[in-house]
Amino acid sequence: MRPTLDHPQPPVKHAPRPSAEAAHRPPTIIDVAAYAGVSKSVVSRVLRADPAVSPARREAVLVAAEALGYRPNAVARSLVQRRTFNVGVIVSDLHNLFFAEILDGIAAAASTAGYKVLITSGNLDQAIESVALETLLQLRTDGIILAGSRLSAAAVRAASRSVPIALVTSGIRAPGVDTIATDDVKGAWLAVEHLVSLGHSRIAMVDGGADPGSAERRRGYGTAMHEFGLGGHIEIAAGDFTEDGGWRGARGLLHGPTRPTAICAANDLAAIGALNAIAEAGLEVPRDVSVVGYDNTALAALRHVALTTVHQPRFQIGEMAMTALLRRLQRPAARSRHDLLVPSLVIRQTTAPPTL
Amino acid sequence: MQAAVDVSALEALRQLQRPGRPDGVARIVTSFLDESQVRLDALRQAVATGDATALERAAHAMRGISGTVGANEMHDLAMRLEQIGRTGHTAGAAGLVTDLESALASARPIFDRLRDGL
Repeated sequence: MRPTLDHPQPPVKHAPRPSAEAAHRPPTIIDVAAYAGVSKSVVSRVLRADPAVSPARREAVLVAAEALGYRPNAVARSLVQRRTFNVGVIVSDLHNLFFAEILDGIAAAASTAGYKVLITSGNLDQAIESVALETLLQLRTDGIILAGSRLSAAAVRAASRSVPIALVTSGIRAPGVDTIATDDVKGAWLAVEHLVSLGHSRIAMVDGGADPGSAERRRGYGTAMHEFGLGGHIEIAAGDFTEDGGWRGARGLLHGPTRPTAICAANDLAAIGALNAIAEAGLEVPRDVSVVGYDNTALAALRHVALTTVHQPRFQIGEMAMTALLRRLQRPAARSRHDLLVPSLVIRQTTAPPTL
Repeated sequence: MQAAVDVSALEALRQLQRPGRPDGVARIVTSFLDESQVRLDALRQAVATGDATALERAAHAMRGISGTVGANEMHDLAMRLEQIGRTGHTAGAAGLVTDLESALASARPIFDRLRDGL
């Protein structure tokens, strides 16, 4: 209650020493308030990072909370505010550094907004991802980010009726579901353009299969090949977004009737697999075969890999996904937003002109 | 009657602090002394311009921080200033602001000692 002339707020009474009973229980917000010489609501406002609290009082609360070893009761807070301040993230593959770097962006934006992040993996398996999604729904997370999801559109739609959902690198469109992705058509086009500029014509692709983004990369590859008059050289080998998938795809291409002089891999992991297959075939990169990856993960930048690759702004993607969730929490009925980021090519040492 | 300044709560808080950690009480006192000066300036300005809303706001903040550190005399003066501001006028505030300045000057050595751990 705001104090009035008739009811001025009394001076804050300090409680310098907790009782013997209090010494044996975890400190509460009331203990912090007593030691800091402020009201309970001021403690609450400081813990919510309310900028209106004066610096001296904020300092007093923080010092008292630290000295007492006070930990805010997250469960109580969530009951009062009807939010858990947790967001769930399901990544399709924890082994892929692409997702680790997206998680960095999500975690940074979440932390700034006072949210904790619960991370789980779909393990490249739709059934496992469904279980992970159900778990996060049961935990009452305030929102869920699906990164590289293999879930069906129907499953995403159903989940979005319970909780805000943001999709990273997904072609799924659903009402009230925001998406953040890189323009993969453009990304694959850039890879082909680079190889054509080096003089390659027999440019093949190791495909990402049914994984999100694969169809767009396939389209970008095909479009570029046609655009540069190389439609007759289009060759797409089955693969996926794993090292093994890249190895299998490249192996098939290298042992085919017309060996390509350049390979566009589905992603950086698949490119590593392709590099292995090329080495096993007794060939050298880039002298015999050039290789382009996709994602520009930390793996691609390793000195002894030095992979030419298509850059996706992963940290930014993660930040944008978290921002989309926060926006959706504020305005649940807002129209879906689909952000498409522009990729770029990073040229390293796995591409060179073909040997004539 | 309560003492003009009662730092027993801050001393109790200091005893709670874990050894080897930065002195939080010194941080509180430093922050209080810095902020008091800012609030006093705002009070003087409010009186000079006859701005009752600004007077109420600055007095409210001063009352809060004074109560926090046990500067009881300052707390009471600030509360009276806040009440004046709430009437929509500033009449009678000038003298109280002067009293508040004096109260801060009297309290300062006590807080300086507390801050320095003496």
